[in-house]
Amino acid sequence: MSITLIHTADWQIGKPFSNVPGDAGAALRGQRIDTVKAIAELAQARDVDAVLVAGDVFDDNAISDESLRRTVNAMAPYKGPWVLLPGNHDSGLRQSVWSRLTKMGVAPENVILAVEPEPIELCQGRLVVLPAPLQRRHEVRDITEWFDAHPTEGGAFRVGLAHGSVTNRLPEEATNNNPISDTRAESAHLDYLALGDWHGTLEVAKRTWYAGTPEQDRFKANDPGNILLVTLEDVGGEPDVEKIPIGRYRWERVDFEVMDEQSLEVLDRQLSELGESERILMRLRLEGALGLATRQHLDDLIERWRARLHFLGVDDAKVVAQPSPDDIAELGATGFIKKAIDDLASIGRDEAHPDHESAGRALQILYLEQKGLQSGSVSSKR
Amino acid sequence: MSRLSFKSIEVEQFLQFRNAVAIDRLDDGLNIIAGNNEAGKSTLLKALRAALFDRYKSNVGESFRPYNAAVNPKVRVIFDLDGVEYRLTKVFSKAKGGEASLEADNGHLWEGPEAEDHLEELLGFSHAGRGGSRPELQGLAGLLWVEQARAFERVMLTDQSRDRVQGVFENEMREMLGGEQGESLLRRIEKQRSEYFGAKGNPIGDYHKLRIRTDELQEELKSKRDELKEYEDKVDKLERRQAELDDYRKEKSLEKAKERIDALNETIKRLDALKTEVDAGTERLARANAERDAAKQTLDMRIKLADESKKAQEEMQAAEQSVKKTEDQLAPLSDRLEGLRKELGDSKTLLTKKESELRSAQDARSLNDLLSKHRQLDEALKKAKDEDKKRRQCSSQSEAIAITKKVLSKLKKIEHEIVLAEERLKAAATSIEYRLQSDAEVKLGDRALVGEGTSLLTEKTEIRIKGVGEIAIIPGGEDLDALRREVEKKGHLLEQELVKVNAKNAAEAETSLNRKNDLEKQASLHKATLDGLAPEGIQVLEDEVGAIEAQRDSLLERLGDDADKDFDIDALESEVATLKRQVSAKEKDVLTQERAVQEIKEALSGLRGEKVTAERNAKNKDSELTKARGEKSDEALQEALREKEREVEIGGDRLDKANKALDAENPEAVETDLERSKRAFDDMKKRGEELDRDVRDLKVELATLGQKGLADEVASIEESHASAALQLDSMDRQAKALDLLHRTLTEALRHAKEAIAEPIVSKIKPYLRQLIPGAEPSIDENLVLTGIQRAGATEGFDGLSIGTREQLAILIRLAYADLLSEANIPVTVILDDALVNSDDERRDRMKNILYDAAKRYQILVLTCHEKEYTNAGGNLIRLEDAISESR
Repeated sequence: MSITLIHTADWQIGKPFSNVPGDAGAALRGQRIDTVKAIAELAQARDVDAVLVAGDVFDDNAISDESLRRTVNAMAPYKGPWVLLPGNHDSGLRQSVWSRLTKMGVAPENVILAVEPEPIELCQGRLVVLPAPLQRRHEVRDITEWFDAHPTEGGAFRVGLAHGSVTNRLPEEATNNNPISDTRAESAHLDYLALGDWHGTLEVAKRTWYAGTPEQDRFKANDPGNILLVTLEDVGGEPDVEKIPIGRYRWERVDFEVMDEQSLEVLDRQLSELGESERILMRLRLEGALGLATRQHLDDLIERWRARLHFLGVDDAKVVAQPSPDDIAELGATGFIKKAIDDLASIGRDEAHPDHESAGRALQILYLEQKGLQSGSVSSKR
Repeated sequence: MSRLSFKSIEVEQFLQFRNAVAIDRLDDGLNIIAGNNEAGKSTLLKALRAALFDRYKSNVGESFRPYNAAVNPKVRVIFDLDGVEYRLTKVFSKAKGGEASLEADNGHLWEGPEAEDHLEELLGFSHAGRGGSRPELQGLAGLLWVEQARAFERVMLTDQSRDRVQGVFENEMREMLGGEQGESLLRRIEKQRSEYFGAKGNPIGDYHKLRIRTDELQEELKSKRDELKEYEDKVDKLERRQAELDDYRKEKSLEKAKERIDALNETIKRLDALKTEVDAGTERLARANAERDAAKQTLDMRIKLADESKKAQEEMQAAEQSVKKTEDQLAPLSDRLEGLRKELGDSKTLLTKKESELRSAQDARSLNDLLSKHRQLDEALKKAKDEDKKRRQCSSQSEAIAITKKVLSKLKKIEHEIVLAEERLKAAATSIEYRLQSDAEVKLGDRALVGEGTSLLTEKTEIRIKGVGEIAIIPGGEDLDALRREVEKKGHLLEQELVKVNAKNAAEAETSLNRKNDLEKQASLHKATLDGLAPEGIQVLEDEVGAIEAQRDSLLERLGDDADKDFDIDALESEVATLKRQVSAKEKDVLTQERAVQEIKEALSGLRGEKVTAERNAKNKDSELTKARGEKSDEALQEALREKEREVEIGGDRLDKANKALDAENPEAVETDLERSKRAFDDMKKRGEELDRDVRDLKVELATLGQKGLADEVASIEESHASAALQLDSMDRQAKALDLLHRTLTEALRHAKEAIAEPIVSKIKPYLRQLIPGAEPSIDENLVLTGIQRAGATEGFDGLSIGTREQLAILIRLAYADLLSEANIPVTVILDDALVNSDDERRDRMKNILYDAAKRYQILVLTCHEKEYTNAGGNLIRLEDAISESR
């Protein structure tokens, strides 16, 4: 008789988003609890046998009681067993979110805190979960070793639950802390090894998966925002793993070169094609050289998109203002103003100049002022 | 090139010029019009201005009329403009007589106001609406024609002149300054920038607040992160402490340490028993030693006592022998002393007898001397007493005579006066001669007259003749009364004086005085004799005689019967001296012998004392020894000492054995071990308690801190900070951009202004270098010369010397003139006494400059210093010549 599990990890409840300030950031923090609720609802809907959370449930051991309570409340829709594993962010120290949850007594019976490396029997003994809780932030040894030495009787499914870096399999950028053997699933005869720590969804070794964070939290396109629905048919058989997107926000990074009006149209189109703009957080990095009029259009375009997107961060340090003869003609700039425009343009081109970065904006202000002035003078003539 | 040259100026009935005066023969170049003060130079210039700029029908025309003149003021100016010669004639009058005409040599003629309007057009100026023309209306003339006494003023461009000057490069200039738009733009940028920056470039307003806010959040964030870090550190600490506590409990170290202490305590008990034994043995041995020492001491004392008794006996015998020996020495010495004493007594008796004899001999000699002296003195005394007696008699007699020399002379004088007075009276008196009968009883006054005689009457005198009656005779003539009173007065006075000296008359008084002088001389002779006999007075002499008599009596009494005896004094004196020497020698011998006897007596006394002491000592010691031996014999004492020495030996052996047994157990090591074990136990216990307490405290603390949700707080502040930082970043960029824009615009404007002044600068520079080498002009965008720069410093126009100012004011005008002239605008420069404040050197340089400039346009220099301009190289016109010619 098969078993269905939901494998998720790295909720990091309470994570701050300092690079997304203001309401947008607050919404992101709130969303992480809403996403937990969505997982609970999905689990309930799919009638799974258990939900395994592979570490970093909370962003920090020092988050408030209020956050703990709200998280537990968000889990309420699913009445089946939840197994929560301490990770490096919320390691199972004597004084930790786990000790506080126990003390507060807010967690209902179906929420199991896997704070000790002891087997947990579920589904009337048909499923044994072997947890490897981190009892400090960093372990240099592989704490999943004990899985090997702990056989299971009676043909139950063996599922490992751990948090750390699978050796030899992850990109170099991953930390070397908390190592997990890439052959643990085999050596410990696991039907499935549910892992946390890597924020993207990844089948990292045989029967070994990172669920990734269900709610994306950085501009890194490594397939985050999912949970895994794992179905185990036979003991010793291959697991069936289904990736289900569940996160609300998408973090998009766009690099674009602007050069003329036409390129602005391309950019506009490209942003439109991303769809669901209110769910997108965007880092837009621009470069190129623009005339003053076009630059103004670019600014208008950016402001338009800033209103549409959940968050838009723009890096336009590499956009150089290049007043065209048309600009100058349009401004009717003569005499010392023309000289000032030339000077500013030359400062803008000179990367070594101390005012290099301010030159483009200065030109833009001049442009706006001069245009305003001209239209003003026209209207006053009427 | 366009040129304007004045050819001639002619005035008539114009202020001081009543007759027509013409300045003609003016050159195209430099003209020097010289004239003394009051000659009318400035009036000439005024006339020129009036002709060109004032309406002939205006009110001002009246002001040009000479005093009381009936004819209207008239000015005629001939000038050449761009090759055409114009003749301008104006007669100023509001009434009919006024006229204006402008006639060109090309045949054109304008008259009346038309002529004036055309002139305005030709020369570029405006006529005044009311009143006289003013420099600001006179176009370039207002700028280039310098009035007297205003030459050093800063040269400002009037609207008209600026238009004309700037007109030269109008388009470029407007473009460079960006026109009204440019200024407005700069103002708006300035205003925007001022929302971000204060006067000193410091951030202000919202910008400033945001910076502060961001910094505060940064601080808050740091502090909160530190707090979180501290919390985490405590969590880690709890973890470590708990692990340590677990280990501690598992190892049971405390119990093990306790067991070790118990075992060591047992060993210590055993050691204590051994120590007690050693202590007892030590005490016993000490006691035996003390007893043995006491026995030995007792024996030693007995031996010593026996020795002492024996020695005392010996000493007693020695003392007895010493006494006897000394007594034997004393006897012969005493006998000899007695002999010496007797001899001395005999010698002394003899000496006394001889001395008595010598004294009697000496007294007898003294008596003889005294008697002789007494005789002499006694005689002198008697003589002296006699002399004294005589002297006293003379003196008393002399003193009895009262008359003196002075009194005598007074008496004589009075007598003489009386004689004189009586003579005068007699002369004046009435003389009566009578021959009376004998029975006639006639009385003259009270005096009865008898017989025959004469009488002088000096006063009324009655002659009573008995039986006849009375006849009163009253003498006449001189004042008889007064003469008579005089005689009486003197007579009375003489009488008084004579009574005083007890004399009948002056002759007697004189005799007395002579006698008195004789007596005094005798007294003085007696006194001299007395002084020779008794120089110290009679009394002293008497005393001396008395004293000698007393001595004589005393000696007589002492000598008694020997008084008449004859003595050999020399022999006696010799005998006495010899005896005295003998007595002295014997006394010395006796004294020496007495001392020797005394010494031996004293020694004997000491020896006898010693002998008594030695006897007593010998007796005491003997009885002490006898008594001691009676109590305990010498043998018994020796036996007791031997017994105690044996006891000491036995006790020493026993103690030795006990000590060896104790050392074998190494008690120090056991003590150290116990102390160390106890310390270790305490430390472990303390450590366990500390761990317990730490864990308990940390748990309590962390439980409280954990609820606070530090991580949530950090997250919240992080977001606030990021938000503020982002906003600040945006504001920063805007502020910096505004600042840059403002700076760039300001700089560009400054640059433009410099560029505008450039044409004028380029014109004035060569002049200035010539005038003041090394100086550069400062010219603003309004083309005004604001000063010069010298040696890197800027000097404002108004700060320069008055001479330099007037020179510079000319230079800038020449520069304007150059510029205008190049732009085909006709100019003429007129300087009315414009270099009065310049020194010779500068004036010379200015003449050079003017000479050069006059090649390009006409220059009229009006001066009252003709000499200074004779070498200017210009066309010299003397105003006086022109005036005299006109007459």
